Amino acid sequence: MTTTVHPDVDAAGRTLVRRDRPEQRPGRHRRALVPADDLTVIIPAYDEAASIADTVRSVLGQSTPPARVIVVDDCSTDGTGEAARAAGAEVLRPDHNTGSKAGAQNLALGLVDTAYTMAIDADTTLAPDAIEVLLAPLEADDQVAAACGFVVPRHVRSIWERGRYVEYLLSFTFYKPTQDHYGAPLIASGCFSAYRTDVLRDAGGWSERTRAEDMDLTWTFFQRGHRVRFVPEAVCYPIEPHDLDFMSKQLRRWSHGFVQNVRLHWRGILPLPFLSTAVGVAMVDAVVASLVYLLVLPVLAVVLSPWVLAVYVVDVPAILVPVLVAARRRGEVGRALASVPSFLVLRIVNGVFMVRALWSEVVLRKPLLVYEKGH
Amino acid sequence: MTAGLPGTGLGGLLYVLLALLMPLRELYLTARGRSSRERWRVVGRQASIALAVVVVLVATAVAARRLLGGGGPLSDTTAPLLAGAGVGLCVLAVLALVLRLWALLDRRAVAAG
Repeated sequence: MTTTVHPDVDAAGRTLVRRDRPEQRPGRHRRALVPADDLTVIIPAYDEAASIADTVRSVLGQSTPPARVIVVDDCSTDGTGEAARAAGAEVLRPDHNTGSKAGAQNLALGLVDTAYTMAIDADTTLAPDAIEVLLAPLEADDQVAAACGFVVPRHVRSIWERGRYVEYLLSFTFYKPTQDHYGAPLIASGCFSAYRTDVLRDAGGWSERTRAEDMDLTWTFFQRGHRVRFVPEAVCYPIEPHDLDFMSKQLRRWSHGFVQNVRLHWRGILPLPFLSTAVGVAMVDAVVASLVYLLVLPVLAVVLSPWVLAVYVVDVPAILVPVLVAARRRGEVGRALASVPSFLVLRIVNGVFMVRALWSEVVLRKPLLVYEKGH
Repeated sequence: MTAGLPGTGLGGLLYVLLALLMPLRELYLTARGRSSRERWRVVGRQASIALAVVVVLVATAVAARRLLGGGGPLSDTTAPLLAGAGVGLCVLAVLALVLRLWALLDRRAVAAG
């Protein structure tokens, strides 16, 4: 692909490196315009020098590359901006750290002049046709405000990555397509989603009022009568937390974000039967299943019989069904089977964080306000 | 991100139930001219997964019973499983009903000012 690069300056006097619009690029007139020609990809990044070049290259190397790729270098100290620029992205660097992923994304949203906007995490690479496939439902249906893809961890080595791998295979093979069929995928994942720019702006961009801005945005779209689609063929590969420290930060953010969104949106989603039921069930599970796993089963094992502990693994064969369906399609059956024990560990850790988040947000009324990066 | 705890209790039951109901819903949509071959492909896959989950759960119950030294007919083995599923379905139904009732009352309260 031939692209020209020239310096540009935004309204605040910040220097940008901007690629020309597709219709202005040499040779572009020879083919019909595709949706990606009207797409800006926003990649918020803070100290992501190790991964940002791979991300930018995977975006620019798409079967239908986007018109613009803007990396928001949120005052990194490791040369993230230089690495992104060298890989071919426009780089926007604010004077001060914005304090959150949403803040960095909103900064770039102000510069978007395309019909579609895509959010990709700085540690996420895409399958070669991911953008082309993901934009299809947005192009086909004006009611669709956002589309999200299938997420698979890029590295599956540590116990935490393996647990997350099985969790994603289960969720994106069974839960998400079912949610999509009933018209309400619960979350358009922040690591890889495409939006109709005008609808995104109408919603106020990515809100910083919760620690799960992707869930907040998705539920806002539903309340405004828009549709959100899940596109399983559009695959992305984020780097998942490899150790408990990073995983803790991520789970803390996710669990608090979920509770914060339920508190924020419960009234707005009540009139939406499928969404309110799915969220209600997720909330009941977050409370009941967590308490059963962490409290009831250990107590019963002591009081009644150690055999009670078998409940922790009794549903493994059932979980294996969708997981192996996905793994077989990807040629990763052995990896999936070897990762199941890690999933069981991660599920219990999930429960710990969910109980802590509920206690902190609902009982103590101490919301999580700080955005802690944890992949 | 994922909401709640994946692969547990009520959530698992809800999605199995929803996936099993997908063919019926799609039949209705087909009759109204709002379906497609692509949609039926997804419906077939999701319903098959859900059906396989149910079969595997029953097989697990049978195997667990035999491992623990229990004998008896199949009905003895599946009875606790069916009872558990029944309780789960009741909880789901009550939850859905409460949410619908809540939505109705909230709408009326908003309308009343």
